[in-house]
Amino acid sequence: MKHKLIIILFVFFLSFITNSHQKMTAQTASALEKLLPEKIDGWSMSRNQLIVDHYDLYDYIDGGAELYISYNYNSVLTRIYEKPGYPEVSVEIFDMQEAKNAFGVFSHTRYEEDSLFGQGSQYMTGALFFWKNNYYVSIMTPEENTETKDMIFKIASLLDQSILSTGELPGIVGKLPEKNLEKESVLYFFHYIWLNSFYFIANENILFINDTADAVLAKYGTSGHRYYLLLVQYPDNILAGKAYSNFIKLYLPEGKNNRIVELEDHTLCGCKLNEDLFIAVFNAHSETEVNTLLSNF
Amino acid sequence: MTKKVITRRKLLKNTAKATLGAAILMNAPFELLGGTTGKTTRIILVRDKNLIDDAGNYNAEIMQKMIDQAVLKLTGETDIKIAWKKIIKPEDIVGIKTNVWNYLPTPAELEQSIKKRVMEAGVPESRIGIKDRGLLRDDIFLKATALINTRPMRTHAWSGVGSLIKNYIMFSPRPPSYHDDSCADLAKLWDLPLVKGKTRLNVLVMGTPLFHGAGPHHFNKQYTWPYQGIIVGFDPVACDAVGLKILQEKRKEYFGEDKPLNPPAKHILLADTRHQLGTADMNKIDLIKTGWDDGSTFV
Repeated sequence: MKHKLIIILFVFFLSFITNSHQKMTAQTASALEKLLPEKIDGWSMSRNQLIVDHYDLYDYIDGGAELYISYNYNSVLTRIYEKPGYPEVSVEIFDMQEAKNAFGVFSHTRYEEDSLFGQGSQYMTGALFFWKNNYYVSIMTPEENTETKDMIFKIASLLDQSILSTGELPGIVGKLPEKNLEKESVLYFFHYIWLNSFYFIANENILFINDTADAVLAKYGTSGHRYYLLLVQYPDNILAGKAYSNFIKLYLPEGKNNRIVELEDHTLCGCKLNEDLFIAVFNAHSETEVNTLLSNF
Repeated sequence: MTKKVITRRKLLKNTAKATLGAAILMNAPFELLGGTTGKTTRIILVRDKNLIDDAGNYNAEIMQKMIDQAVLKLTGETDIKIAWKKIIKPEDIVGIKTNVWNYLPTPAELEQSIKKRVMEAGVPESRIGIKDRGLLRDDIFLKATALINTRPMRTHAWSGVGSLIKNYIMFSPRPPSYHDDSCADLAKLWDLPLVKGKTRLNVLVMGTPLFHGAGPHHFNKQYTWPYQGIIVGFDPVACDAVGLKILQEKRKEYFGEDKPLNPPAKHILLADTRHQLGTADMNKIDLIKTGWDDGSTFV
């Protein structure tokens, strides 16, 4: 009798979990699907799929899923529009849960930025990407012509209007000094794998970057003469201090006694700690470049 | 086990890498080892400006000529059948591992060129498989005694580049288990029982390489260019290192400044320094270039 009761409770529990998941999935799907009509100026939706599971995302993107997962991906609605005689246009609306995640993905994708759509967009031949609030949007066609380009821009405009609210940029981005900053280089992240995005620093997570430690990398200077600023904001001063010590130990032992260190390739590196904020400058060619950036903190 | 931390500074200080053990050479047929100096790895780069036409179609005849040229130079032979007999034995069961990525697959013309020469080496068609997905359910790949590894090079969202080293991911029952640290230890794939010691030839396709990724699927035609080449060698790491160098140089040319891959393709370097699968050190690669040179061969 006791066993029967346990089994019944277990089945009830499983059914509750499954129903909750289905409900959540349905809500997500309807929220995303409402953003986009099935027909737009002679173009019709031919495929429509909501992907929630990480493994399904691996299958769908085939090699690119990790980027979205590293920014706390929630779900993606993918849709194909077709019109007889024209190449298809595909739309992907990623629900990234929070604005900072959507911005993070966008900061990886763009290398030029315009303000045509959302809170930042980039158009290139055959593709348009933008982010707004918690959504990152990609619209692509394998072959751009007047008709497909027009469709790409219509979809972007519709989505931009449908996503009513905007989100805030991650706070750490606002800490970047503006002088000599290449704005389109700003890369926001909280998965250590992206630390080496501009410049290889280390193969391991020597700065303990994780979900609780926001980081931003940015390029300064001009083409052919770039230097890089890294900021990492920790949840408290103790963790920041540990990361700073580890960096000094593994990367910049001379930094114990010197604010600026000349590396083996004759570039300059400097770092400092300001309460819960770690600051480092890499690849500089003069002490002024390092000092100017560090002195902002 | 604590992982070894490799920093930029360590790399700058320590340009000389660890001596490569015999494990590197396990991928080359024994009789060919005498052809190398022991210090360098021979890699062949062949280009032909007519390999791919403006519509993106590969020319099968030119592809055959290119792979033949590469194999002859690699083996030091003058007869293509003798050259292939040094690579493949008539009793072999041969798996040609390709790549079916929708946007940039291994060209069928290359697959057929290789298959033709394998058959001429005495292997019946029934013992040759050409496949990417589902290897673990394929009789030929499960029983293969020889593998030929071929795929196009492209940038990749998580591992930096899709490489020959990475191409064996489908031999793993759990591909995502190699995703840690942006796929740093992909070379471990080469220790899997279905793979270890079986690779006889590597062909990295550089027809229209993808040098930059954009968007969820990481593909935009704008970031490909007609390089019209193939890189062939016994050492997958060296082939990948040469391909990677070409991609990086193209990025410099396109973006007007050094724009490192994001994330970096460190699995290639680590395949050398951590796993001793081959050499990633360009100074130890004996690169033989042949064919078309439009001034932008990049290596």
